[in-house]
Amino acid sequence: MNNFLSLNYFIPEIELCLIAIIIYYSGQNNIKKTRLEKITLIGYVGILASLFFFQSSYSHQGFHHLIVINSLTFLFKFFLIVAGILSFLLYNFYNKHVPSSDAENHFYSIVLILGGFLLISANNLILIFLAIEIIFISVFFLLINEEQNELKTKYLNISISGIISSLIILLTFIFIYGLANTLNLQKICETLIQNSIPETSVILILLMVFIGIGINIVSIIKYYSLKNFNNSYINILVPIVPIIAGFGVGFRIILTIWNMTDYFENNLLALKFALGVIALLVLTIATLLSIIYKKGSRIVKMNVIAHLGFVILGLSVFSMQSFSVALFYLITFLISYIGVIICTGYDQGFKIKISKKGNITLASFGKILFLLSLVSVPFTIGFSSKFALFALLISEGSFHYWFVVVGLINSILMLYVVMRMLHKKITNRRKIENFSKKLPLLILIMGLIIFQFYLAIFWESVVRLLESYLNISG
Amino acid sequence: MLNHLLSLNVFLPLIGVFFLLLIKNKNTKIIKTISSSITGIQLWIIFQILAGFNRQKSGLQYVEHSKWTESLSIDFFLGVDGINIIFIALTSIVFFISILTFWKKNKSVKEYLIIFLLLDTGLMGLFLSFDLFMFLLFLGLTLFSLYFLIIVHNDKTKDKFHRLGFVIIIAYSFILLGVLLLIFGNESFSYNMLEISHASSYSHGFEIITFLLLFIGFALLFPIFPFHSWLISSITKLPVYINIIILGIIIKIGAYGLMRLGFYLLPYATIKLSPLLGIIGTVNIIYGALCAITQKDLKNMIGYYSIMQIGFVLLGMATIKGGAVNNFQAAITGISGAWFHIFNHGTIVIILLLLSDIFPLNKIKDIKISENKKWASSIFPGIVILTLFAGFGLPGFSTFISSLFCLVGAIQLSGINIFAMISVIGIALNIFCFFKWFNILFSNFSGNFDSIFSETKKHYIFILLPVIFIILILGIFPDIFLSLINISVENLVKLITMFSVK
Repeated sequence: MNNFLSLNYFIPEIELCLIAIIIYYSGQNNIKKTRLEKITLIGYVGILASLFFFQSSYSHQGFHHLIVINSLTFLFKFFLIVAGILSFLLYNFYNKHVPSSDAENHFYSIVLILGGFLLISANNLILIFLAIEIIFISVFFLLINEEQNELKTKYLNISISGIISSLIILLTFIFIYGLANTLNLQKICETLIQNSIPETSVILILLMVFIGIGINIVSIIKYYSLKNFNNSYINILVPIVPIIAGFGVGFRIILTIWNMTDYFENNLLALKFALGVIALLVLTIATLLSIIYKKGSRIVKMNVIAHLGFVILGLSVFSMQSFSVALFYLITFLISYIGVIICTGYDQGFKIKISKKGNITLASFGKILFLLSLVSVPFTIGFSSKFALFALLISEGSFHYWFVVVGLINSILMLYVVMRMLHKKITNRRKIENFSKKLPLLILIMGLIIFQFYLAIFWESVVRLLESYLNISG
Repeated sequence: MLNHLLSLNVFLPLIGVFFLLLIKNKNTKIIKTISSSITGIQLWIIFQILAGFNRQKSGLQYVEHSKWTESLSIDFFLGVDGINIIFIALTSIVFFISILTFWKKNKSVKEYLIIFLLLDTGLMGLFLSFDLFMFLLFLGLTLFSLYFLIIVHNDKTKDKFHRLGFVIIIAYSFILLGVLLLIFGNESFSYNMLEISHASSYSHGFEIITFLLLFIGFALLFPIFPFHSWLISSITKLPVYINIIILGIIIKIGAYGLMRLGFYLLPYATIKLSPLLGIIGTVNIIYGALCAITQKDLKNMIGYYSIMQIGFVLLGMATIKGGAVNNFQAAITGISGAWFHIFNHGTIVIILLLLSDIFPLNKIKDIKISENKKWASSIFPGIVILTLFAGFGLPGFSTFISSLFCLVGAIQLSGINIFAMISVIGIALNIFCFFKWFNILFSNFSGNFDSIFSETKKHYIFILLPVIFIILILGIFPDIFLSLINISVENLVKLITMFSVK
């Protein structure tokens, strides 16, 4: 099992590398647009197939020196591929094609997903660091490639945040290596328990890792380009891949800690509290910032960051049920977000549009629905997931009550901000004369709407399914 | 099908929404026909429920109970008893009349009616749910659809976050917090309202805090002084068919929520805080009556009149204290009066609102005589007179009996009787207010009533007549109504008594 040469562990990752290389050379040789599209699409489908074929069959953990494969990593990788395929479809629907730029975009997208794959599965400190850097650099180049004429200070800001985040992670990893004398995560855990390393230093390390990865993700979200709705594919790819990858590794770390509860005997409560406070800080700052903003795009950005806070809040409870609820929250938030992005991409903005005959367009309806879902209005998945999260926190008792109160106040503020925005958009509706119909996208939006209603009603079965998934992984 | 009348009643409008989505926007007649048929069928279902409702049986009837989620033990639980039956009846009447009033409008028909039907589902679900999670879901659906109903249809609110938006968000958050405390404060984390009310496992301090949170939330929806300003501004800006919904049923959510979540689930806090209800009720009565007198616009007057009537409801609800001091009869009389008053206010306010739509005050002098509509001229003055009589509660009308019950119940209880005495001043002021309106409506008008019926409002007369009929019948035979709620009110008072004995 631990044979380094057992390549079947790496097949999807190797496949990603190969496709990236093929796309790169296709771009160099100015290959036809349709051929490039075919190559990319076949690549994505191939990765999806090999993911199912090679990495879903591990009913229990499969450890390796470099990567870990279990049902949890499979789930997160699956999400990544879905995000990749969605962004590819949107790219082809919305964007004006420039052959050289096409190949570059697809290349960076594939590399970004590769970084995500590596981060989700990484079982080695160097690989984790490498994966974070791959993600960060590919995001950077994706953004620059899209807005070549608008190289502004924001990219400098991204670079600075990225460097700070990398430094924090690097320092933490050096510290871990100093303590455990190994790079393998599994062995690090064993060494920590055997050598009785003080819990406080371990907690410090964990918080540093969270902060390091967190700064990276938050800076990416803050600076990514939501203003240009032509770039729907970037709006899906850029925040979602880092979020999924970050939480992929986050869930793995949390599950490992959960398995080491004997070791954390005394300080687990402190760790829970610290994580909870970080979560509240993230969501409160994001919510307060969103009140200042009037633009829909900025409000959505801040909302995304606030939701990350809620997911961490769920993780801070440290129980199998809480992990499944946090995972469910993450999934529902991603669905709502994807819905908003697809609909805004379709309408080229947050305006609510009505057709010549007076009907509200499906995209505008979807936009309202998914925005309401992002702020947890009843009968949307946002409400179900937030209710499940609050129920969990309240049942935990003690200081979690206060977490609920702060979370609730933030949710209400966010609700106010989005309702204020929707009020303006609905009262200033725009009539459109030439209503273009892109059938596949309309079907996609309709499917998402139906899926969201299904999840909003039968959410409990999904939470249970996720719990069983996590049980296998944990 | 008859076993699932309640589900049908709740989800029928949703089926209607599905059909409306398939119809093109320009087919307004088909859209209106489908929507009104849905509300008509709902009304028929309510008649079926009323006909089959066993007035001697205590507890829930037509129960539909099944598991929704296992881990959180959330149930799909619908049922009807004496407390909520009048709310569903009132909802169906209000929605049916609202859609008839909307009939001649041709602006944003499809989107208005889709949200209208969603609101219908929300309200029906809210009143019939006996699971706290479902209660929250339907409350959210109700409040947010109401908000969208208003902003979709009303151009006057452009560029302004409508005041109702704030009220809805704040009210919903207080209620949400209260309900979360109710769920997670009980030992078994139960969502089932019946289980919680039988267990009564909350500590006293916890009950008081939760009750106050719920009270603030529902007070905003009631609306209770000083949270009433949204109602007045909404009434003046909104068209009559939305006002009918707001005054007819939305403001009653507060009373229902306070009763269902406060009285049943938090009996200790109810007994302790019942004088507070009396005080606020009295303030509402006096304040509402004084403001109503000074109004020059009939719509504004109706708003303040409603605030005053809400005061009577609160006064009646305050008599629940009788259950704790062994004065059952006072409590039963007061609560029955409050519930009867809710229904009566719903019916009277419909007529008053339709009158306000027919009589824009400044146009009365310009009315010209028309010879062609003699039939209307003989009926309409009668309707106006009857409405005004019913408004101030002349004996023989249902409002007289309900307000009398509230006062009689309150006057028998020490500590609350003083509020009842003060409230009598409110009745006098109310009579004065309606006489003033007699004067305005009849002294300025010397022509034929026919001419006020423009082509768009001709059908109002067919709406007004049945409602007047209901008010008169209930005034003469109040037992038709009271027998529906008697057993449930008695059970509630027994619950309070049992708790006070403990």
